Amino acid sequence: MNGPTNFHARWFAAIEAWRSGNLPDETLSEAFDPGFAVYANTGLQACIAALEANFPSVAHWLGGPCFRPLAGHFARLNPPTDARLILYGETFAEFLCECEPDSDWPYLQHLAQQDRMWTLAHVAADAVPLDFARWAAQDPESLGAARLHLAPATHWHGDSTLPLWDLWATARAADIGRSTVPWRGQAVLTTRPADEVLCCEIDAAGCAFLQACAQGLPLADAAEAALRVAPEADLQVLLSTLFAQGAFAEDEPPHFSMDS
Amino acid sequence: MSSSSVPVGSPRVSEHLAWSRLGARYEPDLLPFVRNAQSLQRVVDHVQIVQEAIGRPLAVENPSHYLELAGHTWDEVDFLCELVRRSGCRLLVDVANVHLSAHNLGFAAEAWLDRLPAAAVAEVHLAGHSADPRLGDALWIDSHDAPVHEGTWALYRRLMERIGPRPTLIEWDGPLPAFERLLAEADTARRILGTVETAS
Repeated sequence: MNGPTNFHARWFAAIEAWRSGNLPDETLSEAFDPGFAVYANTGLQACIAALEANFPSVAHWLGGPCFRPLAGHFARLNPPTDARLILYGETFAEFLCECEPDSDWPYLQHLAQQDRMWTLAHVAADAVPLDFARWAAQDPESLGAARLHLAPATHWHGDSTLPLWDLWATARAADIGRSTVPWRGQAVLTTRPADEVLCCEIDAAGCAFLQACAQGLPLADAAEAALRVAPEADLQVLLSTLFAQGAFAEDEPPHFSMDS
Repeated sequence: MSSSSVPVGSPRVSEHLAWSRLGARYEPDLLPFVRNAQSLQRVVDHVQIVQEAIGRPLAVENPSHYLELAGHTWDEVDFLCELVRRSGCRLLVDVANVHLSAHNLGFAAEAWLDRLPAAAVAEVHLAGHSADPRLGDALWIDSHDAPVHEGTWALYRRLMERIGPRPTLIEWDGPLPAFERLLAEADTARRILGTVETAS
């Protein structure tokens, strides 16, 4: 069914016209059949359900009655391009930002990005986590020049003004009883050293350190980058956290992932 | 999908006789197409690609239908039989889809099922359906959220009596009832299969 046949193209055009509420007279004749609504609705509902599953923290804070119409609007504008619906919503965070740029909920786009990080970690290629004891046992003289390779599942995201970790973790735990969140900047580290995705809060120094590693800089430069944004940062604690979360891979990871 | 064999642990691999992609656009649904010589050959080609990759016959499943497309030159059962003959695939018969489609399109479900080649049927699916919220019983929806309809059970019994017992899956996606209700559905299928096994 992959061939660009006239019927298939007209079917998709009719679905989009039906969803916009404006079926032109010259559209596919079947689009005026009552049964066509079942096809047009089923696909749209599947898109909304996929977005609700892929962005659970956004759905949690907005609530279903608000989230689903918004998701439907996104789906009408951005129909899926990939049968792997777990990857659907690549631009949902940007959509939320553009949709209501001055909203009272500026954190929604960041929650969407963090949900996306979780998904990307979940589907990332497997990698053997770097063992801290073995890595630290190397010649101290050469440590500064050593490069730490990020695991394919390692992602981080934060904002200097929003309590991203508190908001996201509260939503993921479905902690509806929690009514107050201290308002301070936070970032989240997402990893998957084995089967389960792990998330924890990291600070600005951690983000700078990881960014330097991602750029291929040696340990000494990564440490300098971390101290530049947070001179009081404890690098030993930072490294311990990153290794415990499995942020680094034993070898330079392969480039393949489901997202590629 | 590559042409090299992909290891698949599942005893059966199935896919619907439907389409969902055109170029970069994917629609998460099982869409109908016009059954003609061109579409038959395209499906045969695609089934053979999959079978080569997984190293076993694919089971092709009949989808539910909600409208009659213009331009068919192949009847659905004939299309499936010819697909089996040309590709060596097998059939996954969704009896609920036959029941629902017969109701929506106005054909005889019994006659549809009676024409299937017994040897090609690898598996059977059952499910409950619901009436369209706007049109009521004029249009049934394959909603997978209700008990299997009495009429579907009767068709299932008729098919099993003719072709013998087959692995059977009851689809109920939600909202899910109490587990005991699901077990009762499975027990009904087991009773029918038991009767057929005893008779054969």
